Amino acid sequence: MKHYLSLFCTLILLVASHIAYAQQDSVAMSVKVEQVTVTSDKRVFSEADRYGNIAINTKQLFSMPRIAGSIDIVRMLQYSPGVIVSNDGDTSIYVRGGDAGQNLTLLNNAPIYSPAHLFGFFSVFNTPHISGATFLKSSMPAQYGSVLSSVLDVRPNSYIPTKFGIEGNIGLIESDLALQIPMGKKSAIFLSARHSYISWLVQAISKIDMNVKYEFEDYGLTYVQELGKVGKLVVNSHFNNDKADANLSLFDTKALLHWWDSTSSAVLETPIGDNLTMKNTIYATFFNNKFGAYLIGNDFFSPSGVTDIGYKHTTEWSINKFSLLGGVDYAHRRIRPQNIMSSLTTQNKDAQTQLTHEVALFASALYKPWRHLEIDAGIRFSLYNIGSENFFNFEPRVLIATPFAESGRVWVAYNKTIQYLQLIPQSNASFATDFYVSSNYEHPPQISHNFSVGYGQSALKQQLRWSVELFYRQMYNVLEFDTRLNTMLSANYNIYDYIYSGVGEAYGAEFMLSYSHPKFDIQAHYTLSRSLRQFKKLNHGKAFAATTDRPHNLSFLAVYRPTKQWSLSATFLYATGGAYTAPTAIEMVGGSFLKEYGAYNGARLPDYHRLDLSVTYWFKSKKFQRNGINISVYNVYLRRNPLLLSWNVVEDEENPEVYRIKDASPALFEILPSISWTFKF
Amino acid sequence: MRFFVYIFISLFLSSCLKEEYPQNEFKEQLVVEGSIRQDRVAEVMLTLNMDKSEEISEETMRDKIVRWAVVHVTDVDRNDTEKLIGMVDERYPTRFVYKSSRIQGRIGGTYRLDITYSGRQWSAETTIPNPNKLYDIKMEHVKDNLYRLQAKIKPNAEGLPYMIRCATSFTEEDRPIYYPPALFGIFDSCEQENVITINRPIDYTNIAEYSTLFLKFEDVHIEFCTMEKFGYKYWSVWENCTLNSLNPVFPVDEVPPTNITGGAAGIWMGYGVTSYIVRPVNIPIPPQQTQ
Repeated sequence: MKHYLSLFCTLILLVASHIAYAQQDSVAMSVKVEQVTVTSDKRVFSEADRYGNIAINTKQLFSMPRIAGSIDIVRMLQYSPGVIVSNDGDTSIYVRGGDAGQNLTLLNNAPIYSPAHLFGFFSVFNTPHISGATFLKSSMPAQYGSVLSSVLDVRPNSYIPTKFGIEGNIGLIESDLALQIPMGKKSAIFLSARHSYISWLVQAISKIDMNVKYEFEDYGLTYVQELGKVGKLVVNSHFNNDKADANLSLFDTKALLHWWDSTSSAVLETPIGDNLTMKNTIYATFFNNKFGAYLIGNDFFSPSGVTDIGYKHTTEWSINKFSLLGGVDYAHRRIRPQNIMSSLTTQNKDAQTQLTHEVALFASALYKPWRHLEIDAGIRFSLYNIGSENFFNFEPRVLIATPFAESGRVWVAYNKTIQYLQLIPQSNASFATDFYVSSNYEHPPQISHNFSVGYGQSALKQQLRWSVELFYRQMYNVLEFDTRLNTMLSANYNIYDYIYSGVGEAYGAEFMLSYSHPKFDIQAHYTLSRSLRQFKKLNHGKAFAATTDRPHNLSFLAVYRPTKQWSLSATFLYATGGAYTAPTAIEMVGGSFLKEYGAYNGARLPDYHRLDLSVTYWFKSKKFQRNGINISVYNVYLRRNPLLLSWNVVEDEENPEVYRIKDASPALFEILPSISWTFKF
Repeated sequence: MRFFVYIFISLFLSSCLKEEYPQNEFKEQLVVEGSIRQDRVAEVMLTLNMDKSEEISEETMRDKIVRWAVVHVTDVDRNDTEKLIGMVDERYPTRFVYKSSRIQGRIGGTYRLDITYSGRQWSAETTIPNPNKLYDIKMEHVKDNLYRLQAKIKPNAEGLPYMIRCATSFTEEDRPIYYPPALFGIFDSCEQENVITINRPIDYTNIAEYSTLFLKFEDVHIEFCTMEKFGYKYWSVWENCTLNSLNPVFPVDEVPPTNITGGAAGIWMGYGVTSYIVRPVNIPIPPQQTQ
């Protein structure tokens, strides 16, 4: 019901903006129409305005290899330095040794709490609906807060098109459509929709006797209004929905997994004079997750979610050699941690609902005293309240950069970041059953001190670029969740009893090399890193490898355009296997064989590697701006990249009276060819 | 530039080095499964754990059974100690069990277990709590010749955890002596009068034909076992390990705790037990105390 409320809010904002526009229109004024920025850089990733961060050029994504016929902005982040390769089926990204819940995704300045669909194939973003994104991981500007590792700031289309346009993609497992509708010279609407018909694929990849139905859908609406002197208003609403049902013959089990995210926001950007710009944002995000099962005569149901309503203000002021920025953030959240209800328990549905308030004041200054020195220093003060518990923190951030000789630069950055809203992982892979909880005195906010130093250089008229960046992070109050399904069903279950706080450390080096030519582009990234954790209550208090500790990460991306019609591309990923806890021995108790597990995260999954190929033929057409057929193959050489390693006692194939403990390593996708039609007119 | 080269080389070498934190090495360990209940003798099964790479067969399992341990049980309150006798009994999962003959459990009594084997010593202590009483038990026909068994328990005064053990038989001759825990049969407290479903213990050797339901004409032997809080900690981890080892959403990486001091795995636990036999063909039958 709440997503309807969210859409309703958007409609109110639309009406309000029309009223504002009508008032403004009565006054003659010069309207500055924002031009669409067209970049000549054909790279998918280019350097953002801040050193070590990345600007994602969505227009270039269309030449990338497609997965099941679709291209995806979040999936493509895996080809950027510092982002750890995640397993097939993992819905999150992992940045510089951080956990899945340490990343913040924003759409039109509003948070999105479930940015990916099941199995991580697709993010919730319809690519034609977004103009670009910035991925921040090295130097975090002061206006971004309550996140430890990275921010993906996605911007919806916000230009005024001159004519009506349709853009879409029709593939084997999903199709999407986007419309751009000009409404006069000063306003426009962008609409997009995507729907999947993925059940057959899920059924095909299921390795067990299971009847699965799974669908997802995304809807987007953006309204852009030029308001003359008042500036520009961008109202955006987004709704994504996933629903999975499974019937398992073993134990007569039925399972349901349903989650949706509804986000609406309005951003009003107002220039005041030539040097001052104010930006005001209001937003509302509703995230809900329902996980339920019918198991052996018992029903259990586990709802969780976050409602987030907030306001952001920033003012930017340029004067001489200074660029100043200041502002305030406020967020009120209603958090419902996972709360299992079943016929075995009598817990109150709202017993654990948490109401929180977060206020932050921030300011930063960019100072360029001379040509070869830039200093960007900022600070963020935040106040967080949950019940009678209060936290006050400050987060200093500083970046010193020395651009030299037009083509090179060296930079040093330090950020302190704080995160109050915690994502609790249920398993080693990020999955839709993960849920959010608030920090409290028992489990204080996560804190990270992030240091990085980088060097970048370009040559051959910027066709050739390379960079190296070293980083070190010290993290406090990082979380591990170590509960059991049967414990969760008990009457006295308290989530916080199973959330452990510890410390983490990550360090590494990121290397990037890219070459761009009119006919081909090559980008290669290599990250060498370690990520360790230490918890008093885990592994006898000794340090262990984080689940995301993958010392070697390599990604290679190549695009070749022999003619205007053909585009051939290839991507390759390699990463050391992730850490997991493996059994070491077996014992017999209670009439069953019981596995004894070894050191926490003391074993490694097999190395991950995968090659994807893609070929696109673009038809010559006067009617279409873009009209192409794409054929792509995911995991060309059928590498079995296991989702997890489990160990089971199984009957020996030769001697039925002998049992052995064997690993079962289900791989999600061994190969996945696809074909899709992409069009724009 | 040289600085970066140095950093790169040192990072590369550090990542190639053997990881400093603990790795997975097999360590042989004694595994204890011992129990004492009111009005019954103490029973202790001793085995050695085995490396995960070993095959599991009658022959290899026989090698893991500990037959030459010296096992004593002491009634702490009466300062009475008895040496347990080891005997072959095919009805137990380990085919070999140590039993007392004189010392029997009583409600509220505290009992210490002492084991000496291969020059090492282990010990543990437990108390037998008050048993739960049964309010009601009923059979529900589900389909064909399958029945679901549900019970309502009267809470004990202490609100202690309890476990349901269950076994089945068709004749008096094959009447079981060892009852494994019922599937989803571990409960952390008995403060409320909930209706609980009693499921057949899981049988991994015949998982394809496994059903939680019971058959017509089969005797269902049920024990409601109240235990100390540690018993819940142990058996809930045990249950999770046996059930969820292949579950990617709720994975298992836990080792059950132990109350055996000296470095052994396993449990020595006193149970306050009430026993019943239910036969679906005679539904409804009044619960029959077998004590």
